[in-house]
Amino acid sequence: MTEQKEIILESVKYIKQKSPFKKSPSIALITYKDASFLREFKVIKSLKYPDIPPNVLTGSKVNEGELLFATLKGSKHNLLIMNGRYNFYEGYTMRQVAHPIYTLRELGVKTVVLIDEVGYLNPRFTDGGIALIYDHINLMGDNPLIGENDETLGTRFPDMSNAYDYLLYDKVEKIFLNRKIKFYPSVYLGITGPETETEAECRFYREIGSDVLGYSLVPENLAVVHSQMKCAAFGMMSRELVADRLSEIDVEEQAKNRIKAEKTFTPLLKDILSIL
Amino acid sequence: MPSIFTRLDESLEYINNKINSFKPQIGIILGTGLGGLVKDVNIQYSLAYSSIPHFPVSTVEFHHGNLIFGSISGKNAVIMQGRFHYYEGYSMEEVTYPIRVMHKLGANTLLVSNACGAVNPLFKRGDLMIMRDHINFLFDTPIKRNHPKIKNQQVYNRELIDIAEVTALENEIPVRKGVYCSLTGPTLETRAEYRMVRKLGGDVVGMSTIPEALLSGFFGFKVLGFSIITDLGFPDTLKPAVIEEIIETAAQAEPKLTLLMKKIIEKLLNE
Repeated sequence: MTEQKEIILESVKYIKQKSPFKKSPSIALITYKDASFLREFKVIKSLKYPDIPPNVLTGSKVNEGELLFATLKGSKHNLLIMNGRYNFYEGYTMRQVAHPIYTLRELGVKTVVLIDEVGYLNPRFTDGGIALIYDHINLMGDNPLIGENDETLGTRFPDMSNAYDYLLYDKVEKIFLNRKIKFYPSVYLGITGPETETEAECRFYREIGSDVLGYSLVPENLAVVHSQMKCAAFGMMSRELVADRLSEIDVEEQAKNRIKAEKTFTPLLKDILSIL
Repeated sequence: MPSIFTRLDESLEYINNKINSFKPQIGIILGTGLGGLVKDVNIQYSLAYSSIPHFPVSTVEFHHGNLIFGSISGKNAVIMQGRFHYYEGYSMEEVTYPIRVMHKLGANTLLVSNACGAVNPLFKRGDLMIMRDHINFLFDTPIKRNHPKIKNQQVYNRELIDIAEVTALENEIPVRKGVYCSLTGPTLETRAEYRMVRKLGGDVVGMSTIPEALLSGFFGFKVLGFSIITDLGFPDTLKPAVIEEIIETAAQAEPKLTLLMKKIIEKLLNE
């Protein structure tokens, strides 16, 4: 067995022991820390990331994220929620960023919902809007699959033509249409960050075909695809990155925009979980 | 670990002991579709990578790992049977270590091949393409230290490209010419990525060759690269890639690439 798999199984064993669910959930949601829509969930149990062995994931500081065993209020859906993620820009390696994804898969997860805060490059997009991500460009210069490939996790050269499952995407689109909520189909650009983008970079990123950008979703999606799970992804648009009208980022404004998007997203959660 | 120069000296000492002052003129990397060329080589020495001190070891299942010394079309060559890919986790230094060995042995020409996906809509599965230029999207380079003078403006040698084109015409083998863009992989590209590569001026996408071409170009090698188009990366009609199909396409293209390469080597000047 590869070292990678050993570490995964160690995490799996601990999480299984602590799990309050009889049947392991088939859905996982991964989001940045403390998004407001998480209040919609009843948390049955939570595990702090540093408590999950073998805890080999070491970034620039202690990760305050938690793995939540949760159910959506007023619904029968059980799911696993990663409240907070391992970001490449915090100093985690790509393999470390991908570790929780493989762990979720070994726990029985079949579908992963990724939620990220994004900046938008497309001039037709708007603050507080929701990006439906249907494809990505990896400009992080790295990939969690580089290195030895464990065939029990996935194939050497995963095909990326359905990286964001198109059937799921169609269903999600219908939910937005039924609820008459505007959405923004998006190509997500993955870059390392954490510094924000220059005007020239924004122009370049738009030119190569991206609509929104962020620092975290791409390696997670690559691991999701590698481990044959399905992926749906959403971006909460919190800052404008349109080159010709770029202004200095106002952190408060950004938080306000993000919360606005989260508020729009919250009532859709139930519908979205029901189609997975 | 000892410095790269010490390690190189040790590798060379071992190799020179084994090959009795054999002097290769050409370095060849048997990438995809070129594996059969070895049948045309009058092999004099074959050293397993694992036997050479400090040499990296190839992991990919369908690759052998041998450094072969012999003559082909009348030229002395050092041939890599099995190569090192960046996506396998090797550092740039490891990927290009054999190039340093070839350089020390006195080779001054590099012939290399690879498999790639086409983003140029004129290209077809099974086509051969002469690498006219490249775009390095590996976010890394083998040329980092102790290299004050970089002379990589024309990595892919114009004379060799001309010879390759003429030779292809003479033998009635259709060839394309284009820009090879390398991404790290090993995941295949998304639609958005194929679209990006096309927009940036790439004709094909692959995951290899650029590190070796860069370093050998830096050493003053004349580099000639061939790509076999084994799959199509047209974003608007993208179909899931089937690895077996890719391998099959490469195998079908192999005889014409092998023949072409042999004829090209015949035309190289004895130096």
